[in-house]
Amino acid sequence: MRSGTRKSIAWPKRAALLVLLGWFFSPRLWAEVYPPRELPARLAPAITLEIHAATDYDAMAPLLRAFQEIHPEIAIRYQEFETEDLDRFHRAEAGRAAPDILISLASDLQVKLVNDGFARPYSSLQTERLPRWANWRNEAFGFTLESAVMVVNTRLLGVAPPRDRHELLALLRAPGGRLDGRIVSYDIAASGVGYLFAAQDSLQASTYGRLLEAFNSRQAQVACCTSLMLEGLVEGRYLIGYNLLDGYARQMARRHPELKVIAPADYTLATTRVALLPRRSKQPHLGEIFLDFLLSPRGQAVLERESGLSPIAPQAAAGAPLEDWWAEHSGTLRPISLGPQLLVWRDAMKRERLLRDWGVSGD
Amino acid sequence: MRTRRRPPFSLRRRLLLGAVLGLGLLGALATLATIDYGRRTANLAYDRLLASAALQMSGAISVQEREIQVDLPQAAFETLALAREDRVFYRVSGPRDQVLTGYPDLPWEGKEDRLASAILPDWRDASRFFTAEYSGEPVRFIELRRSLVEPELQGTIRVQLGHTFRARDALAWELIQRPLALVGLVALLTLILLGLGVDLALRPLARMERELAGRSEVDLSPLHAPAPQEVARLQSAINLMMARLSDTLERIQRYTEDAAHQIRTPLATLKALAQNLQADGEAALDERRRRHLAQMLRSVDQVNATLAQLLNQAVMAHRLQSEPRVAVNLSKVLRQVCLEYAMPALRRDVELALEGAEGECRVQGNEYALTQLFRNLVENAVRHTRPHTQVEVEVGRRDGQCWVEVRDQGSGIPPEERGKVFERFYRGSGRTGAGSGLGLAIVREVARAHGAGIELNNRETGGLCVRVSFPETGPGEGVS
Repeated sequence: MRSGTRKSIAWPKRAALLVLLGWFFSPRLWAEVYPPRELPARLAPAITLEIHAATDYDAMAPLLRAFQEIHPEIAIRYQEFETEDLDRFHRAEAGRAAPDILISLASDLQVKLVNDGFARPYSSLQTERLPRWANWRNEAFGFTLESAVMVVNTRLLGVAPPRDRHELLALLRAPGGRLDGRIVSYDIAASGVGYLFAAQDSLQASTYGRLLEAFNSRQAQVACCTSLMLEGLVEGRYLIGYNLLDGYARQMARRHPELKVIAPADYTLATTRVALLPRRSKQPHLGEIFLDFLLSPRGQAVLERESGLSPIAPQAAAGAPLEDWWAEHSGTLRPISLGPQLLVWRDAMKRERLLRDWGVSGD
Repeated sequence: MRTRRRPPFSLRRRLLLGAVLGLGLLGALATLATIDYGRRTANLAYDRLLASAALQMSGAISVQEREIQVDLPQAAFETLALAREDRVFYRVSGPRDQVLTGYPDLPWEGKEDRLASAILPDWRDASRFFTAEYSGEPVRFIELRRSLVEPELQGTIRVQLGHTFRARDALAWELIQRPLALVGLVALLTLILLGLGVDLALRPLARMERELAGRSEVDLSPLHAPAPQEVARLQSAINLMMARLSDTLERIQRYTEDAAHQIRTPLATLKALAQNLQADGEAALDERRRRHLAQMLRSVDQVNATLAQLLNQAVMAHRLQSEPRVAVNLSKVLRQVCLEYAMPALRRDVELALEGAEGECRVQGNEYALTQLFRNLVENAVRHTRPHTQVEVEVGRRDGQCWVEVRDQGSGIPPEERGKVFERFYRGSGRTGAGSGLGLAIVREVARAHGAGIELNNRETGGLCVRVSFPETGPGEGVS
């Protein structure tokens, strides 16, 4: 009887919570927060390719247009998300039909989706070309190369820009308060890719601790995204940016020659935009066609010329096999391999610990 | 003669079928064992990996301020990433089974593998491996238990770590490919060897069959080919039966011989009496009785001739059976026969010509029987050819085969009768005279005993041509 009364109290609460959750995750609401972009087909009747992506539309738009040139009968509905939201949305969508392709820069989140059985395997000539690190189980496919670079405002810094982390440390430790509050990096609690880079940095025992300490003592600033950091660097609010995405940084540096983009010489992290084909997609072949286009020489060429992103390997646009290049040229470039080891960083306790290290709290 | 009926079963097929069934069963067992071996070995290898990763995870558990902290080591997951294509699931749960981190809905139980659980000796009681379905796939789990003995917190922490089977399956397949190929190869080779072995084992039977089939119908000598134990009994049974047959045949021949002798004596007496009668009462008898007497004497002669042929045949059959075969020079035989019949032929105004007898033409056989054969042929030819004509006897050799032709200029034999003339006591319609009707029967018997063929042809110029072709003889045995 007692348990009965307890239940009768608990139920309305739970129901209210469920309603709240349902409202929160309802597609209508998400569509209001992130209005989808519609790219109509040039031919009728059209079929609609549905893309959910955690990558900004401006970078993707040339790719979408090039895709529609080849497939004029396909209309595209492109819905943009923040990385963490995309993951949450897709998990909450369980039971409902999924989009045809899911694209995100947070490779650890994508790997976790694959690990949890949300993706469907697919292989083709294009996927076979991928280097090993950029293809996990034929379910997660990396199609760009995004390296983490340092960006320095050379005009304001005054001294020789650091070439690697050791020189950066030396600079930070030098006496004088000129750098206080003028170093910027990702807000790793808000940015999936920032978190991913920080996590990989934390594996470098030799520099990680000292870097954290130096950042703390210099009251390093954080920003949600590369564009804001670059803005601050151009305006002179920041002198040094750490772990920025090189694609945006190089575009900005072309317009602002005082910005210098530096790939750290000790090691340069690189991640990739990851596409996966959701298991519950209504029209699986549409996702496959688009994925093949992204990985094809033509798609890679558009990506390089018009989107300002880096292809998965420099010769990817030429149609050559990619694995060979990685075997010979990777050098100090450390691509973050897609695979189960990325799951570690999606562990709640692990994440909390890393966020604490960086002096930010989870939520 | 021999009807080809399908035998009830084939020894060869039965042996091979048995072998195939047995081999198939063994092969299936070996395959199953190999697959099981591959699975076990792959599991053993990857269970160690799993155990190592789980131990690393378990080592990363600490208690800080009454809170259990799990700092998942990247190295543990990198260890698991050696099975690159496999999905990974984990859970760390506290003393009250509350989930501290990881996948809360992992199965707690599954199909336990006690053998694998033994690979961690120090943890034997505290750890176990099991396989359970999760997220639509079978997953291999390890569960490690760790007792917390901190002053502020006691209890057991469970670390459960699992991954899917892709790498295990790939390794198992890698491992069993060669053994499986070997199993197949061995089965194939065994089958081939068995096939050859069965052939080899059945070879004495085939040899016996060939030997019996190649024999003439009067050859009842025992089989002498060396035979293995199993066939030797069959061979001795056949030999015994042949010996009995031979006995019987000999008895019949002796009986014929005796009978002929028994008849001969009274016949001689009869002939003598008739001759006496003829000599004594030539004048006393009238024309009609004289004619009857002459007829009677002719009949007696004919019976005599028949008896002589019967005796001849009996003797010949006996000799064919009992005497070993030797090389016989046909030319020499023919010369003798022609010499023998030259005078009787001349008496009928018939000329006897022998051609081709300069060389030697040898066949394996019995000289007496062959002499009888050609005597009969020459005698027939001389008897049936028209007076003032020639009987030609020719011997020759072609492609290692000896042949003899005897050609007369009589009326020949009509084609429809050619099959019958070799039967005993058959007398051709156009042929009259003192023939016994046994001559060509003897010819056929001797020819058969020597494996020779006989052809009867009417010549274009009129008359009969009899051609006897002997089988090929080895080198050096023909004309030299």
